[in-house]
Amino acid sequence: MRRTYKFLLLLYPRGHRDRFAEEMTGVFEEASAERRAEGWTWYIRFSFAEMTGLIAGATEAWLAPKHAPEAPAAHSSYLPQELIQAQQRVDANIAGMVHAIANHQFERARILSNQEREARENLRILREKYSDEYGMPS
Amino acid sequence: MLSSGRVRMSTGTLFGALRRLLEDGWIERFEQEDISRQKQAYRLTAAGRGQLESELERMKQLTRAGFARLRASEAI
Repeated sequence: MRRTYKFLLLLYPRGHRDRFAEEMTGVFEEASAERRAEGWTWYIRFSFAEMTGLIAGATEAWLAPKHAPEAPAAHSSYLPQELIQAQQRVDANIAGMVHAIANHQFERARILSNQEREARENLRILREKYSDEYGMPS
Repeated sequence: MLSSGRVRMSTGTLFGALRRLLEDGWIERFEQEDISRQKQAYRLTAAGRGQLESELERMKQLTRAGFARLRASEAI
């Protein structure tokens, strides 16, 4: 089974294999031992799910848009707080609008819509401000 | 582990999700001494935490809206 799993891992793009293959195999082996202890029926179901999951995962990995390489930890950990808060304000306004509309509070929805527009503009300005430093789309 | 066995996903699904979260900068890898060589530890980044908080807030709003609608239909 391990051999089949490793063979199916070859279906993944090279980048994905380099980053995850060893870890995936480790997790698979651990889960495999657990399912075997639960009985053969569970083990066969698990094996089938794993194999189909790998084929689907590999297809998805090939079709996924190409992202920039994984950001270094220090970079993502220190995104400016004001930028995160600006994004949260936009999201909270949208959520508030949905709630207001669902409750037929159309006046409140209109006020929140205006606030959301301002929050989005503020977010755009902050993204521009940090676009060079953090390489984010403005 | 957190779901007490209710949620089981294949490694293909799990690592597809991890790859997307890493690429979006919502989680990051970090070194943890007490885990085996083959396993990797992940944690939320500040951006990921912000995203999670927003998503939880959105779900809370939806839940409130759902209960409000239920109460309204019960009152009729």
